Amino acid sequence: MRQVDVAVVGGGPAGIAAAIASAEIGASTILIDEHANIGGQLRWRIGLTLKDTGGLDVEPGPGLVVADALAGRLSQFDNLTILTGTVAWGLFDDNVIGISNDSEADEIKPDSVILATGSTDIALPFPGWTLPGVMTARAAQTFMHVHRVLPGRTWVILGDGEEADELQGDLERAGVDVIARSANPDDIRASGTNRLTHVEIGADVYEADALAIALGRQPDAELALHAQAKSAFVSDLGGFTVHRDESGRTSEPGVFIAGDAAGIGSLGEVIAEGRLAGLSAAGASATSLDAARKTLEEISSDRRKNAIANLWTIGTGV
Amino acid sequence: MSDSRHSEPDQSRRIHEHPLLGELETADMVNITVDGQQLQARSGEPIAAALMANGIDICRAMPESGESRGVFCGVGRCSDCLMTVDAVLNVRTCVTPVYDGMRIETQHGLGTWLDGQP
Ligand code: FES
Repeated sequence: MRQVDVAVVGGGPAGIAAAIASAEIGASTILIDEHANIGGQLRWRIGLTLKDTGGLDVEPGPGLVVADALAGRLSQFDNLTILTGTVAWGLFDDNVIGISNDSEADEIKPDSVILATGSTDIALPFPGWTLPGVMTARAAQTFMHVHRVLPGRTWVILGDGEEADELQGDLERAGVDVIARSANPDDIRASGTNRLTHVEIGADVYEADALAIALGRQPDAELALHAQAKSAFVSDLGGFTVHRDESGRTSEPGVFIAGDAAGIGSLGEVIAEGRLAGLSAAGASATSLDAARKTLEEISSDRRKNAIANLWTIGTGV
Repeated sequence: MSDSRHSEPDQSRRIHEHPLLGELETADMVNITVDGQQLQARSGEPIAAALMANGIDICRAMPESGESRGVFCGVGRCSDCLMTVDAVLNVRTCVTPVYDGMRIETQHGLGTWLDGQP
């Protein structure tokens, strides 16, 4: 069992910001990420551009460039340990975190834990949705951008929002065809023997070898729920999420949550939130907390601010 | 099950050039076998990516219906991509890296351990 001041689970934008904030003020910090490389969504959502840096000392720019710059920053701290390829699979009493990688298992005992576990794609069922060739937008992005392989050549996208637009851009960049889009999961049908070959949208039939579900993302707050943090369904934050204040403090002592895991947000929002959570968890001075709070306040949309404010007020006693 | 889907290895699904990601870095290639057929994979890539690059999209067949399953979430969350790897059942191929000499099999239903236990 390893003892640390602050453990951060998730090495995406929010987790990186939290880990840097915590390490900067001298707290012994561990950053845990299941992927081979730090960067989280910046590694598969490669169309993203960082505009607001959320108080983090990094040049705005394309997400991938920012991810590399941040990975470089992280490696400069002596009091920060990075565990990649490591899954945090449980959050137990006294904030003990169960971790494992390909070869071994261990436990971490931090004073505070910051959950920055990001999001999962929303997948709604429809006829044929289990056929090989039908996948989430994130699967498509991960296979194309991280693993560099095309899941298919002729695509249909289910979804009509930002995520669908983003994926369409990704697919076009990869040089494959998007032949149809449907906004409505009640009106789509996938078929084929053994794998996807056709998609019906209403009365139209398309020949396609891939169908991506791009209906949006929802917070991945499993570890907070494992620790029995209070939760609620808040559609403005993307679905089931955890009661917390603006610093990410949940109902459980020493358990913080930040970024998409605490409510789907913009890059600037999740970074500013991660930074504030990192400073809070590591016990920063009132002055730096105020500054980080102000940055977050400036960046956050009213929608997010209101959702979080309501979440916290209804939190007590729920 | 017929093995026709394995008969023509098709590496053209590999993304060699990408406008944002640039040229694909060269990697050490390793040999894997999939249902007895020898294929090449980039060292360290997930099994499912290696399969996809070789034109294989089917990972397993459901226990009762026999329906095919392949990559769905792509990130280790859904278990659709389970296969039998070096005689170990239920390996999530989208998050398990290949290594040289790995033996991968399409999993039928719950699969069978080497000792014959289900
Ligand atoms: S595709 Fe979902 S676990 Fe592998």
